[in-house]
Amino acid sequence: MEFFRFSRNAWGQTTLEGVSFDLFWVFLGLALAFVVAHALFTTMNARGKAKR
Amino acid sequence: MSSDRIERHKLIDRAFHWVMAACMFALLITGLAPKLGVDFAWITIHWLSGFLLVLIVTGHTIRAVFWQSVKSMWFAAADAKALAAVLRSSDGPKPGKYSLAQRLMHHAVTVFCLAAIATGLVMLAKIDSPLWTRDPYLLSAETWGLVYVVHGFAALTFVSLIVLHVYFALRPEKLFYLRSMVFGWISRDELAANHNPALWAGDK
Repeated sequence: MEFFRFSRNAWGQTTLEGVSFDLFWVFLGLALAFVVAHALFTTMNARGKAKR
Repeated sequence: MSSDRIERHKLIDRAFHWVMAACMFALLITGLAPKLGVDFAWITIHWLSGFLLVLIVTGHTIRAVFWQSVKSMWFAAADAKALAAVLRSSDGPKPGKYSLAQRLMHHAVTVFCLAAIATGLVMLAKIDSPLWTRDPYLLSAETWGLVYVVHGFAALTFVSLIVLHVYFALRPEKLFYLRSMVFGWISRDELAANHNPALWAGDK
């Protein structure tokens, strides 16, 4: 996976084009992973408190 | 408003929130979908949504500075206690109008929104419109690359921020905040349970 997009111009020079849009799935995945982890943590925490 | 209800968000602030949400969705869909393989005529919708975002963010900033309490959104040294309590999974001190998480979300949105706006305004030089003629040579190729990196990174960050924002808005214990963003009010019980009335007891 690449972090940036590059292009090559007529003189063979590499030019930065922007961020790689493959990262879309990383940003989406990290946010969804946090959501799942937080939901599990708060559910287990609430059950633990209810037992005590 | 009945006496057991506290005003949390005035109509103008709720309108700002939902228009901003519509702009963000329009910008993300028109900005990212073509890059992910869904191609359509996106440029006009994208820059018009960006223009609307600039207008409402400017209005919100003026209103926040001159008519609202900037302090209610500030992150102060005392908030470190609240942060430590969150990390220990215990109840920290009750906040004023906005919880620590709400303020951190606001600051993140502010930083990435301003980055996207600043770079987006520069990128307008690459398109023709009835108001100006395109000038793609305004910046060097390397500088354009950096502008695109910042704009793209801000857009990708918003994907994460929106997922988190929607998740927390829909959590059962936070639904009253979502209701307040629709109808403007919270109850006195919700105020007592979640906020320190000495710091905030409703908007005037």
